[in-house]
This record gives sequence, C-alpha cells and structure tokens, in this order.
Amino acid sequence: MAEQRAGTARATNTGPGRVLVAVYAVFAVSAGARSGVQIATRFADAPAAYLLSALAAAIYLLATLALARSARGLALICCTVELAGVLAVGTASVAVPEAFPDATVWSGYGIGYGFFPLVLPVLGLLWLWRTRP
Amino acid sequence: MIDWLATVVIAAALVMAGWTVLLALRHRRPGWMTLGGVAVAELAAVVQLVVAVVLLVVGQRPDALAAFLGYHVVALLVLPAAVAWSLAERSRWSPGVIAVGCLALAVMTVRMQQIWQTAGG
Repeated sequence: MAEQRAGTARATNTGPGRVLVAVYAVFAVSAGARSGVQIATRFADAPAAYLLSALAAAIYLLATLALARSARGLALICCTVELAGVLAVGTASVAVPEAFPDATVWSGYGIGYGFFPLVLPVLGLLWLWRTRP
Repeated sequence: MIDWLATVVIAAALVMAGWTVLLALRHRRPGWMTLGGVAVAELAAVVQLVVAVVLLVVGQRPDALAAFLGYHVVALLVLPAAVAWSLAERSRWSPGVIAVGCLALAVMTVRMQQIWQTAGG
C-alpha cells in the first residue's frame, strides 16, 4: 500500500496531487464535522440522511489518506464509490425529494457544497489516470 | 461575532489566496512574505476565536452552538495544516496548497457569520 515508485506505480501525492489532497482534506473535515454535529445534536430529525452524510465523509477521509499515501487501489475504489454515490443520491434526491427530509452531502449532486462532491471524484479519477503506471 | 473582525479574516484569507494563486501561476515558491501573510490571517482567526469565546461567555450565543465552535476549531487548524503540507514538498504547486487553505478559511468564516446571525437569544 505504501509508496511504490519507479516503474510499478507513480505517486499520487506529488505535484498537482498535493493540491488535490489538500482539497480532499478540507472536504473530508468539513463534511465529517458537519455530519458529526448533525448526528450529535439532532439525529432523530433525519437519521438516514445524517448517516449517509457520515458515510460519505468517511469515504472522503479514506480517499484523502489514500491519495496522500499513494495507495492507488484504495484511492480508485474511494473515488469510484464517491462518484457513484453522488450520482445515485443526487438523482434520487431530485426524483423523490420527500425521501430526504434534510440535505445530505450528495443531495442535488452536492449543490449544498458548491458541487464539489461531483467535481472531486472526477478530478481524483483523472489524476489517477494521469499518474497511471 | 463582530462583523468587521470577520471581514478582516475573510479579506486577509482572500488576499493571501489571490497572492498564492498568482505565485502558483508564475511557478514561484512560497517565501517569507507569503508565510508572513498567512501568519497575519491566522492571527486574525485567533483573535476572532478569542472574541467569540468572550461573547459566548457574556451570553450571546447562536442556535447552532456546536457547529459554530466546530467551525472555529477547524478554522484555526486549516492554515497551519496547509502550510505544513505545502512546505513538505516545495514545488510550483506548493502555493496552490496554501491557496486551498486560505479559501477554506474564507468560506468557513462566512459560514460562521451565517450561523451567528441565527442567534435567537
């Protein structure tokens, strides 16, 4: 999982990858802190939405660590799950809004977070592609 | 929260974000001037936290107190973390990392202001 360089796999935590890791870290912390507060203070209002946000935040954190440590396989899984999640939940929240009493990170394709949830996994996947072995 | 103080934090963060983006575009690395500017923004954020704690003790408090305090703690950590991550690999991308931290501080300060203004008393 650690850094494998020279021929086998290229590092994801160097060059522009460092900016990507920084954005991911900001996002993981803000989504995580927000869902933590929601779960701690008013979990009963929308338990499913808050748990989904917490799950999303955990995946962002995992993605941050994977990109920062050049764990390419894990990073690929995380970015793919994020993209699938934001597309699935985004579509569901637009199609069946009454199923989402409170917004999640992925509601409306991440509109509450400036569409970063939609853009980040795409950037992550592009970066993994650019640095492919 | 004191509006003009929040404005100072936001302005300092945005100026440093613009400056570091400029450095990144010109392929320059962050120097002492950049670190000094970031330190000023961080100092403003610290002053803001102290003022917020004083206001909380005095009795003003927002409805979403936990979120407000959470934002304050993260706001203090974001610039040191960005600088550490930036300086660990000095390249043309280093200033970009600091820019991300500065923009995050600005956005968080705006969010803190919004939360504070929901104070019901």
